[in-house]
This record gives sequence, C-alpha cells and structure tokens, in this order.
Amino acid sequence: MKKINNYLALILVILVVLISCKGEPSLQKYYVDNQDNDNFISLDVPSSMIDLGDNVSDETKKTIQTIKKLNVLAFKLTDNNKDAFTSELKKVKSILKDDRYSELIRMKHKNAHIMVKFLGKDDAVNEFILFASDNSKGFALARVLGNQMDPEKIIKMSKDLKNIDTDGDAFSQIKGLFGEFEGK
Amino acid sequence: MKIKKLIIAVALITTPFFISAQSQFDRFEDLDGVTSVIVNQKAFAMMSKIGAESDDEYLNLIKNINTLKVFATENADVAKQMETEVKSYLLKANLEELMRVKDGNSNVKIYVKEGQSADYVKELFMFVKDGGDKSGHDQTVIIYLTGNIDLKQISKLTEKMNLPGGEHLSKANKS
Repeated sequence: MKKINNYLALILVILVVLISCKGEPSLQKYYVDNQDNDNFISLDVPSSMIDLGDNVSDETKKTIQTIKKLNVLAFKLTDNNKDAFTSELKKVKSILKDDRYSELIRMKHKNAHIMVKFLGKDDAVNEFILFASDNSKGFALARVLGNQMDPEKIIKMSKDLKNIDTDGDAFSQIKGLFGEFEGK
Repeated sequence: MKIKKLIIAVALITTPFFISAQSQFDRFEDLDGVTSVIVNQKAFAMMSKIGAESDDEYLNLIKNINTLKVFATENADVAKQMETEVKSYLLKANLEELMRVKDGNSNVKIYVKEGQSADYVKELFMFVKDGGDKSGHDQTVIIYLTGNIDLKQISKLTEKMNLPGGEHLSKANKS
C-alpha cells in the first residue's frame, strides 16, 4: 500500500512538472521573441531609472518600489510588412484572450482599438497592459510590470508626481501612461 | 414522462445563457463604422477605490455596476441591423419600458429589468436614434448596463463618462 502511495505521489509530481513546463505563450515571451525584430520598436524602462529626488513623500517612494518597469513594444505598419502585421496582431490578440488577463476596458473607434487589461488581483496587480491597434498604423503593447501594485496608491502617486518638475523622456512617458489610466 | 420533465428543466436552466445580451450585441463590436466602449466590473471596482471622485453617491453607483456596453454608429446599414437586433432582444429579454421620448428628430427608448426595489434596477437598456442636427449626422446608440443600479444616480454616470445619449437619461431621472 505504501508503495502504491509512493508511485501515486511520483506520478503527481511528474504531472505537475509537465503542466508547468507547458510554456504557455505569455506577453513576456512575445516581447523577448520580438524585441530584435525589425518590424518592432521596443522600449524597456526600469523604474530604478527614475530619480525622484528628495521632494516626494515616503509613500510615493514606497509605491514606486512596487513598480518594476515599463515595457513597450510597437509594430509600425509600412507598405512592406502588411502580412507580418496581420499575423502578429493575431498572435498578440490570442495571447491577450487568456483568462489570466482580466479585462478592464475595451474601446473601439473607427479603425482604432484600445484594450486595458491586468494580471493579478484588484488591489495587488502584477502587470497592467495597454494594447492599442489601428489597422492603418500598427499596434502597440505597453505594459507596466510590478509586484503587487495597488492602483489606489499609484493614482495617489501620480497626483504627487504632477506637482514635481521633471525632465527626461522615460519619466514623462511613464507619467503619461499613469495619466491615461487615471483618465479612465 | 420523466424524460420530458427533464428536458424542460434543462431547457429552462440553459435558456438564460443563450439569450444573454452578451452574445447578442457583442457582434457589433467587430463591424466597421461602430464605435464601442466596454467597461467591466473590475474597472468599476478599481475606479471606485481610486476615489478620483469625491462624490460618495457616485462611487456607490459605480461600485455596483457589472458591465457597461455602448455601441454607437452613424452608418445607416449598421443602424438598421442594430434596430432589428434590439427588437428581437426586447422580445426575449422581458424588460419593462421605463420611458420613451420623441424629441424632434431623436427617439429614445429606455428599458429596465426590475431589481430589489423601485429605485434599483438589474439592467438598464437604452436605444437612441438621433436624427441629428442639420448637418445630417444620424446616430444610433445602444447602451447596456447591468448590476445593481440606482436609477436616481444614473445620470451622473453618463455625465461623467461623457456617454452619447446621456442627456436623455437625465430626463429619466426627473420623471
């Protein structure tokens, strides 16, 4: 009897390993696979690059620590890459269809689609995803990666940051993205 | 005899899945010439937590919303399809007419599914046909809202989210 139990345990372990190795397509993998592709423009900004200085509150400092990086991947449509565009768009859409990504908002106007999704719990988000596509221009996938980000605190932070004068492209981009979330 | 009963029971249980508005209107999202907005429960939950608004009643309202779907078009073909779809939905969905307004060129119909009390509804369905201004911009709009919705607060939502047809809902508020 004990032996059977051991076997069962072993089989269970093997199954778990197999399942976890299945390698579901994720946005991270898609990003890594395509960041060197000529059709794509990619941008990866770690939050540590942002120097907040001393004139921000402790809470803001704490909040920014939950954010790891901003990651953007964009496909620019030209006359020569229409086929690639169609197939890549399909790929990204199918990844985004995964139930793990909870959808917040979906919008469509004329040719433009915008989708906001997230990964994690309502008050502990690990990934915010903004996906925008336009059949005549291309598509962009912007992700804010972090560790248990709390939307409430992030909005608070973005308000705090608005009061500070900053320069630097990366920073204004991140600020812009938060502004967008807040706008919704 | 038993089998018959079973079939009826299964049919009764499964019908709601087939007649849900989800499948009925979502197809408009994929049509050209349609502007659509879909906001899910989690987004409302987050918005209410973020507390960008200081109005408590408003926060309470959005906290209890499950889905908001808006489909709008200026394309005459699509508008016709919408009309047909709305007709068939109204036949099936068992909604109660809240009000009907005809004002100049615009025609607004608002339907609700009753909820826990007279002021609260489970579903709010609005169909707007706007003859438009003199420039001839016809607009047809479907608004579909589910949750536990306080009718008295609903106009705030359309106001703040700047939805098409929102001005008609504020009329519903006064009635």
